[in-house]
Amino acid sequence: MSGSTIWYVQRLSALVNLIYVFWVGGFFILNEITFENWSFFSSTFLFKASTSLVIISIIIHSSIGLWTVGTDYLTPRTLGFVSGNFGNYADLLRLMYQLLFITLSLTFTLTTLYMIWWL
Amino acid sequence: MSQKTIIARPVNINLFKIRLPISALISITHRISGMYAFFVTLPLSIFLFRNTSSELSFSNVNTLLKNNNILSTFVYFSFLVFLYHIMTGFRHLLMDIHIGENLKAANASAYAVIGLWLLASLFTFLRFGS
Repeated sequence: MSGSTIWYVQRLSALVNLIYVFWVGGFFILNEITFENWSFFSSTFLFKASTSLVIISIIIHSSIGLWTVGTDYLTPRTLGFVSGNFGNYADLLRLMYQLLFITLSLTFTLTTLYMIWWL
Repeated sequence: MSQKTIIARPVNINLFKIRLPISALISITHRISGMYAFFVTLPLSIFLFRNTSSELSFSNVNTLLKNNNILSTFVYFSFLVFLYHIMTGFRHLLMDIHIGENLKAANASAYAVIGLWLLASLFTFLRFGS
């Protein structure tokens, strides 16, 4: 993917997430928070479908953001500012960091989808 | 072109001696709050979602969050950090479509975002902190 595509995907997913947060946040602010209200709201098809799409949108957005942060700071140059020796491990550290957030992303997505549709 | 000018460059950058402009502070805290939102607020939200699916677990969570304790403080703090990420992110989105890009507007919106977020934090504290 080209850099500009990634740039647009991150902004577009940010907008999708923003609309969802306004919607769910609005529910909590505008309604009295009881089990009946929450249970009804979270069992509607609209909530289930939009949450499923938005968890994927969140993962796309956060993956791009976390990847950017990793390639900005976990580099021989930036870590070299801390200590020259530390900088030598930058590529390994960045790989471990990327594996960590990819694993977490998959876990969060599968957990959410499982809870929504099968639990 | 002497050797002197090259030596005089600040090669040893001390992050603690750099005074960040307010928009740079917003930018770096947007990143930090984004990291926090992914590693803490997101799994916390999934955990809370899981623990509000039955009437009993819902009332347990509800009681916990209505009272002032270390866990509810952690939950409200986590959502406030997420709110900070959203608010600073909204400012960045506006700038991406060239709204408020000049220095004066950027400084004003930076202070506005911090001010609004502090108000939201104060509101949360007054509403749930006691």
